[in-house]
Order: sequence, then structure tokens, then C-alpha cells
Amino acid sequence: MSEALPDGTRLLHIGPHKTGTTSVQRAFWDTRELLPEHGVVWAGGLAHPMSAAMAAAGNQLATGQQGSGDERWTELATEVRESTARMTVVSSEFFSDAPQERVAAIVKALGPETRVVITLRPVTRILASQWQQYMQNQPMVKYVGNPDYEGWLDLVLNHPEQQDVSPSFWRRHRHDRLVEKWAEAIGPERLVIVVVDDARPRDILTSFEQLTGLPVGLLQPRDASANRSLTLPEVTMLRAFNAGWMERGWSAADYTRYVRFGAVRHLMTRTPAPGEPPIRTPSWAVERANEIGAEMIANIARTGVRVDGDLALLATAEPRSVGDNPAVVDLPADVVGRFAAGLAKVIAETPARPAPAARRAGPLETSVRADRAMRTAAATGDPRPVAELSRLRLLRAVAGRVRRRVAE
Amino acid sequence: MRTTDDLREVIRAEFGRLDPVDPELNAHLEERALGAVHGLDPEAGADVALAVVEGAHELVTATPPTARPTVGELSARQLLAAALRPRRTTEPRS
Repeated sequence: MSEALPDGTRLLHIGPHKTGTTSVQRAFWDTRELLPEHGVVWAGGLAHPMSAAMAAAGNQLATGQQGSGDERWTELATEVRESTARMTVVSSEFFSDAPQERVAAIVKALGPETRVVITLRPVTRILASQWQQYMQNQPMVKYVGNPDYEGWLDLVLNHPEQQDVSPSFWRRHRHDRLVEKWAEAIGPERLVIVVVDDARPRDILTSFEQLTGLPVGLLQPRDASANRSLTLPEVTMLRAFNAGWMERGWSAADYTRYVRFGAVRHLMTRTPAPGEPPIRTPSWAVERANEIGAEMIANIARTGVRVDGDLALLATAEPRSVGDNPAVVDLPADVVGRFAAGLAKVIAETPARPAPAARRAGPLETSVRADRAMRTAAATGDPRPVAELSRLRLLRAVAGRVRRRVAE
Repeated sequence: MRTTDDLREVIRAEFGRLDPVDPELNAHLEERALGAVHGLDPEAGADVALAVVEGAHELVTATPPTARPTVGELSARQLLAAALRPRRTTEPRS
């Protein structure tokens, strides 16, 4: 049983990615109205304050205007610092992307009562999940040569120093260095590691309940299927689609809106057939990742930070699917249909008005917004041709608009 | 053995499930998707999805600006500019 953190704590959960962060964030968010009666506040007003955390770490989404995330980070940090709750919780895996100089600034911005929680999961179980996540954002990540999964594993595991493909992988998942970096900024006594065991999925929520002093069982896991990984056929088609997208020179901002946060999410709503192949990790990669895991355990143990769970798991765990992937992938028809329809869905749902000032819309989104605004106005607005109206009637039309706006 | 006709049937079903937010746009994009079907492998599947995005690009760039804009299509600022521009209207003086 984990001991609760002291009253007044600002609990900063930094992930990293693929360590159960979505499960924690959704459980806290779904329970947010019950938390205050236990003295706990979920900060940020969102299930996941992603753009604020990205800004804190010095990054931003392709669809964000320069500086818009900074404002959200300032608001979030102020809310956390000024909170009078017994326990204030903020969570985003994007904090783990912060370089050393930003780590200290993040801790300072949240105040002296900050304590950091790092969830760690064996690298063997992160590899396939993280790779397919990179593929969902391929035009935005560094991915020279477009290697397949096996090629990517070779680069990441056997050439960890290379910077051409996924340089963020070891920044996030060299867990010993991540722990050392944050421990240096905040002090090892203010850092807690929670080891995530896929075989016991409820344990991560129990750890957070105990750390925050919530009754065990209050946080409820949400259906995890919406946050599943892509299957091998899905990711193979997506990679071919991404290559076509980049060949055409289409924008990263449009990709972020319409593909990453649009069609891919719609694709995830399908239920893969029982025989549909997952992404398998070859056994050589499992062995290599576990060797690296053993190094990490030794280094983490030396820091003296508190560990909740079995640290040994980082060097012994096997992923869900081990083996070689087939050279030829059979593509289920509903993968194509769901993905294509998902694109149509998100394009059709584009609002008929300019993008908000804080957002950066890509060329396609900008054109779709303008086109829809024009068609909506043509269908519902005043149908009198401008060329046929006198100056007086036009001025009356302007005055009518102004009156309506004032009345709103 | 699946055929491209089976794939077209699945695409029709998936588009048919969408909320009718913009039936005209959906119909255009569905037509582009169906027209792009040429195989059952992942690359051919990607071509179907790329055709949907190409269809959206075509649609928004092909929509011609209205030759005779209506009051409803213009913003208040554009209406004001039109009112202040030296002009001749077909409307009788009121």
C-alpha cells in the first residue's frame, strides 16, 4: 500500500507516453465532480491539458498558433499554484518531453509543494505501441527513410545514438535518465515511480488513489477499446496513406486535424476481427529491450526515489505479441471503408466559420471553412443580390447586422 | 474470396452510417472513394482514402465565387464597402 502524499501537494504526473496516462486522465476526469469532497482537485479543466503541457515542454501542436499554448500553460500553472485543495493533480505525458532547463521552470511554476509522479512500463511493452503512435503523426515526426517496424526497432535498439528516426523515443523511454533529470530538479524525495503492470490494469488507478488519499475504488477505468493500438493491417494502410499525403505536399496542420485527431480516431471505433494480426515484436528486440531495461533498473535504484510496484518488471516483461510480422498483409475491407468515411466525416463537420485565433488551420481546413460559410450564407442568408440594391438599402442591411450583434 | 465489388459495398455502408451533416459533400466524397477502388492491398486502400482528401480539395477549389453575391453571403464590412463604392443599381430610387 502506497503512503499518501502530504496535504497541500501539487501532484504532477508526467507520464511518459504509453504508460497508462490516458487511463489515469480519463478516470480522474470522469470522477472530477466527486473529487472535491475528498479534498482533491483535477486541474486544467480538461481530461488532458495537452497544449499547456506541450508549451511547458517547449513544443506545440501543428494546429496551434505560436504562443497560444503558453497562455494555457500560464493559466494552468497559476491554477495549480494558487489551489487551496488538499491535493491538486495535473497530468500530461507531454511534460516528459521537457529538456533539462525547462524541467526546473515547470517545477518552479507549479510551486514549492510540487511532487512528481512518473509511471514506468517495460520498454518491451512500449515499443509497438509507441511506433504505431508515431505513425499516427508521421508527417510531424522525424522519420528519415520511412523504415517499417522491424527497421525502426533496429535503429532504436541497436543505434540508440542516431537522431534521424524518432529521436524522442529515448528522451521519453530511457526511463533512468528521465527519473534522474526530474529528481535533480525536484529532489529524489519528492519523486514517486509507479510501475505499470499490464497484467494488473487496475493497479495504476489504485496507486493514484493511495497517493492522493482517495478511497480505493473511486476512480473507475473507462472502456479501453477507444484507446487501443492500431492493428498491423490498419497501420500498414496508414503508412501508405501517409506516404501519399507527404508526396502531395499536403500540410501538417491539415493532417493533425483531419487524420490524427479525425479519421484515425474514427478508424479506432471499429472492432478488429479476432484473427486480425497485431503488430508483433520480434524476440531479438524483446531481448535487447530487456537488457536496456536491466541497465535502467540499476540506475533508477541508485537515485533512491520511492517506487510503487515491481521495478524488476522493466527487465523481464514480454509484450502481448512476440514474433515476426507477415510480409504480405491482408487488409480487411472495413479498415478502408471506416478510414475513408472518417475523413469525409471530419471534413463535413468543419465549422462554417473562420478558425479561432488560437488555432492554426491548414490550407484545406481554411478552404473548407470558407466554402461552407459561403454555402451556408447562400442557403440561409438574405438572398437579395447586392448589385441590385441602393446604397440606402445596403446601409440598412449593415445597420441590421450591427443591431443583431449588439442584441446577442 | 473478396473482390473490389465487396470493398465498394463496405465503403457504401460506412458512408451510409455517417450523420447527414453535409449530404452533398458526403455524396461527392463517397463517389471519389468508390471511383478510386482498384485493389485490396494496403496501398490500394490508402489510394481510396487519398482520393477522399483529393475530392475535398477539388470541391473547395472548384466552387466558383458567386457572380452576383447576395447580401447574405457578404460580411457587414463587405456590405459597407459595397455601399460606399460609387455604383449604379438596378433598383429604383426609394
